[in-house]
Amino acid sequence: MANDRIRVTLKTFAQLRELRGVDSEELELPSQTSVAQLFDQIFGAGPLAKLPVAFALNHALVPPNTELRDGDTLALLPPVGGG
Amino acid sequence: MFEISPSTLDPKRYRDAVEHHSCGALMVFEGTVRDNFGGRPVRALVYQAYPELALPVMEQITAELHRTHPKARVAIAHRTGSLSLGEVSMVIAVATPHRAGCYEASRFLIEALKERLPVWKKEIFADGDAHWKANDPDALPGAGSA
Repeated sequence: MANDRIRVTLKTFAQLRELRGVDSEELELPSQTSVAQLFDQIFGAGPLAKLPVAFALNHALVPPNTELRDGDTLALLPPVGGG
Repeated sequence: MFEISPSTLDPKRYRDAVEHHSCGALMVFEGTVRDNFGGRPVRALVYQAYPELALPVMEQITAELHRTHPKARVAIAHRTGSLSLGEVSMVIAVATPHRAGCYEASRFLIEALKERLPVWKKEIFADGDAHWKANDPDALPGAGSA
């Protein structure tokens, strides 16, 4: 793996998970990719491009401009429906 | 006590967890699977959760409650998986010294959890159609008064 590439684990939920077809996947990305950029790369051209999402990095909520680091786990969280 | 569970929820378990001689009021709220949404017949609900964040969110919301109701004793559980009509999807048990605080605490907890708990619900309609249903289109985990 070159120094300018990172590996991250992506977890998705609800309609995002159905579109990906898996609960969790490993991705290799350019370094300095933000969590919002990753969402756009994967979902930006599809039917869920406009879905509001929150970002959890290593199980804690983070702002959209947070940069991913090698080994991170990112979760993409659509609007919730518990209760 | 905070739980995300794929198994049937037993409300008494959470009631017993909050019962205490210092509390003269105890309420158990159960969310259950209703047979329709807006009049359209529903056959089942499927819940998905993100436990690694859901449990901390339950703790955070309880900490916020304790700012105004420091003696409240709280237990919260949410189901995951496919639930049939009438099954319990969520239990909120709360005990407080007096009744007024108990009603306030129970209401605060359910409203905050509906808004912020990272759990997702798919409505399975009787006609076979299905879709993921948000409590509010903008209700993202972490939003709110925190």
